[in-house]
Amino acid sequence: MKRQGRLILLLWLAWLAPSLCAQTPLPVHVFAEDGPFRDSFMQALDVAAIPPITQVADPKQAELLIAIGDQAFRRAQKLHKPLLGVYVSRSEVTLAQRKRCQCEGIWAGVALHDQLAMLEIMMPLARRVGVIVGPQSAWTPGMVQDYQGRLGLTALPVSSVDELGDRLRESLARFDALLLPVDGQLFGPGTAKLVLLTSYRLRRPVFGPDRAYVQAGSAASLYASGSDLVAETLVHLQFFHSSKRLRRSGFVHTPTVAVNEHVASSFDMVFHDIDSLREALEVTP
Amino acid sequence: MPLADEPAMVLTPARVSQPQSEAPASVTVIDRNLIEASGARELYEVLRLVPGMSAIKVDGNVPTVAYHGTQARDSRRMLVLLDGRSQYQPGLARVNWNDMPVDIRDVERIEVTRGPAAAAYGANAFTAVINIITRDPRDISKHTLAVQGGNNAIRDGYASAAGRTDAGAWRASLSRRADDGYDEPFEGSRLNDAKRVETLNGEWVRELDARNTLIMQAGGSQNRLERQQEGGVQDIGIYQQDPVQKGQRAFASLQWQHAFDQHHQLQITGYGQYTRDVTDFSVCYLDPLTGQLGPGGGVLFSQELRELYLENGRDAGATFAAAQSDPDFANRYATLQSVNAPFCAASALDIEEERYDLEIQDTLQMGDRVRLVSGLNLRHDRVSSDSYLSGTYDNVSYRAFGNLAVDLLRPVTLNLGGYWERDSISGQHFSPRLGLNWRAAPGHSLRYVFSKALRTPDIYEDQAHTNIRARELSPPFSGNTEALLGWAPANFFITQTSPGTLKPERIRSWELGYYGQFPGLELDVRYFQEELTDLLSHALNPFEFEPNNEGRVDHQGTEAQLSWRPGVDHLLRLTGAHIHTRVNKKTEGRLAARDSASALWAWQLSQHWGLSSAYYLANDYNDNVFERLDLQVRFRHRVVDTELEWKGVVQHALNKEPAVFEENRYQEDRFWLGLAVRI
Repeated sequence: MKRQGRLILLLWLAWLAPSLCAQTPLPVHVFAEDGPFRDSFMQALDVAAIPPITQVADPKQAELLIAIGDQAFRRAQKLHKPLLGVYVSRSEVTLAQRKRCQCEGIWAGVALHDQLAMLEIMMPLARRVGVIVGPQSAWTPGMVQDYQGRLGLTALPVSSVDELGDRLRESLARFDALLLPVDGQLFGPGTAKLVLLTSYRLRRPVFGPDRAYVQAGSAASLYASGSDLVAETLVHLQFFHSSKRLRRSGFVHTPTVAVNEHVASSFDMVFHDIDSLREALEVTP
Repeated sequence: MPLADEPAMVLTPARVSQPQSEAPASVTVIDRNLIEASGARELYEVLRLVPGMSAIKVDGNVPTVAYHGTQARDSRRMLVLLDGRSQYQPGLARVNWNDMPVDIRDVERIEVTRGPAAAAYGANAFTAVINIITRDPRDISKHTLAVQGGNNAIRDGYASAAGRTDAGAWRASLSRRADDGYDEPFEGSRLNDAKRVETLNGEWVRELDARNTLIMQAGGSQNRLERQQEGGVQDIGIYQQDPVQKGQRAFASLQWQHAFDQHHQLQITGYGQYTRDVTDFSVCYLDPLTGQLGPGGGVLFSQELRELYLENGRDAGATFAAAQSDPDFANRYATLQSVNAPFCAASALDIEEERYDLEIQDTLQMGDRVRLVSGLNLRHDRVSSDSYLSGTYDNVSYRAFGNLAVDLLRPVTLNLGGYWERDSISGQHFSPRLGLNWRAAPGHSLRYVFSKALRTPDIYEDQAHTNIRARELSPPFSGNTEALLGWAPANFFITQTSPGTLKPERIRSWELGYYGQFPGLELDVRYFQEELTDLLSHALNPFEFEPNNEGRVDHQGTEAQLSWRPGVDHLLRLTGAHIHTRVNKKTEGRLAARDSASALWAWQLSQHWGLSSAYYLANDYNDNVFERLDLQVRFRHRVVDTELEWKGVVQHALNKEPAVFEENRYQEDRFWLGLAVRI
């Protein structure tokens, strides 16, 4: 799915290139915490952006603001300019839009149906899946209820970290697997041990929410890598350049796959290697 | 992640957490959801969901659970673990399912390793291992109160509490269950098989730090079981008080888990168990010469008849023949005739068993491909019994074990295991196992397993010296015992003594199996052959005692288990076994059903309503077909923060044939209603 998506994206950008290159560079300003991610993100945009962009130091000079992360997104809103949030909580974008900001976002996390597609491939026995959702989660209870696929999803609302343990203890045994959305409040390093050890003791594997959790012991996850975010930002930039409007918010379209092979093997999951899984995901409707 | 914290699909076959596709055995897992869906009241009943497993009440209210069943009354060829503690009792080689100190609601899952597993657990893991794992207190968030009642005097109660501390968690439960056993009247009279069992079970887990965890468990049980009258006693007397068995159990265990690093873990476990069973009965004995009640019945407890019995090679018929012309016997008989009262005596079959077990287990992951579990075990069994042993006997055993799992090639796993042991009764033995698993494709694997195992004679089989004592005598025998019976205390004339030369029973087994996953469907199939030799097949009770290793049983067959979720709200689970059994003694085939099956369907109708139904077949047990249909309806709802569950269960026998023996009949359906409150 990821490889195919990238190919389509590159072909599309290449087709547009001659006409776009003739256009003037788009002045943008990037809000982000200082650090290696910000630098490499900006560098990647500079290299790959078609039409070209000019990163301006003064945000007032920019036609489009790009903000990476929730904090930067909140800061950037104060300038009342077109704003694209990158890896921003869905709830943060919704809140800003309610305040009539001129903004859209690439949400933190990946689409629910993408994670479920992977879960179905790796765990063909699974039918009942519990999905924990909090106020800051990438997915809402409504999204879980609207799911129309083969699996039976149950939203498990959790309002705070304090509730997480009891919710797991009460509910986990009813499901074949647990799916976690990206949620900086609920699923940080502080709760990984609680979530994963409870799931192991009850023999219910966890999928999601990101690569860090997979490294800690979640079975597998699709996640928005840095290059996925760059590729998605480029699509938004192109859209903005051509229409002078912001593209609608959404998750990255070509997320990356991470699998904890040891955990997947312990749970007897159908997994051969990452490439096979990626290929299987590409043919998933 | 330390090894102790790793996820495990199955733990039992090789003492190491393994995916089922790599385990060196066929494994059946029954988890809490399945236990609840089965509607079972008692733990032993859910084992009918295991292909090839016989689980039925044979002697009134005493269940027999046996994998590839042979003798009807004996559960002695299978190991049962409760949180790692052996429930196989050393004195009379049995597993007491009635008074196991755990309630069915405390159980998180049951793993059944089908096939010999002595390579991992030592002697007596002969045909299979049942590993009962209780709920981890860290996974419980509510207190529970439950009651249920129904016909046949079903009256059950359960209360449990759980809590968490800064670095740990605890749980405790108390339960009581009672019923009246099989239907009555049987042949016009009451069947003495009611039971009442109370259990206490608690666990405390403390995580000392990231590397060290302490787990402490303690509990016990007490029971009162009505036992049916012994045929041998009925031949010589009239019961004044039906046999009643009263038992007590207690246990305590402590386990320390230490993670050296992510790849190396040490576990030290020590536990002690105590069991006491006493079966009281009172009989007025018939005069052997007249066949009527009278003082002459006292000769059965006379010193003279005991001496004649010993002189006549412990042959009761020859003893009575010799008694006709024995002057001492004639004098004793004449003395008794001077008393104008029937001879009645109260006796008891008693046994006390203690076990102290210390085990060190080391688990080492070497790279991605090699995992080794090794350990040492020291066990001390002590059995005291006046009636079975006429004293106290000890058996100390020393053991060492190792199980190695190697990914030879990525899709092929080799499991090699062995268990060496030496004990005071049977000397030293070694039990090996070899397993080869080939993951032919993701989600599909084939396995070949070869194993050998043994069952060592229990302390009774090795050291039997039976003496049924007249504990309470009717007057005037009570006040003048020595003068009237020739000795005091007086013992029944028949006594049995084991030669002490019995060999262990042996099994040699191989299987070819397939485990596969399809969308929503899980399938396990196996073909197996088992040769059981040197079996102690003949009766070894106070009336019949033929100690020898002449028994032999051969099993050959196919088993399958399938779990299918056709939709999110439905679960269909099917098991079946077709087994050809050849025996050289008829009693070894009584519980060997050629065809057995189970089908369980669970349907979650809505958020609140659930329906489940189970069908069980065993064709046949002792020429009787067992066939039953169960139905359960559940309704769950919340009142504020309290969860309430109402349920009704009906068990309907589909035929009127007795269960194994003539007196075990279900003429009426069993039904009960229950309410559980979780706060």
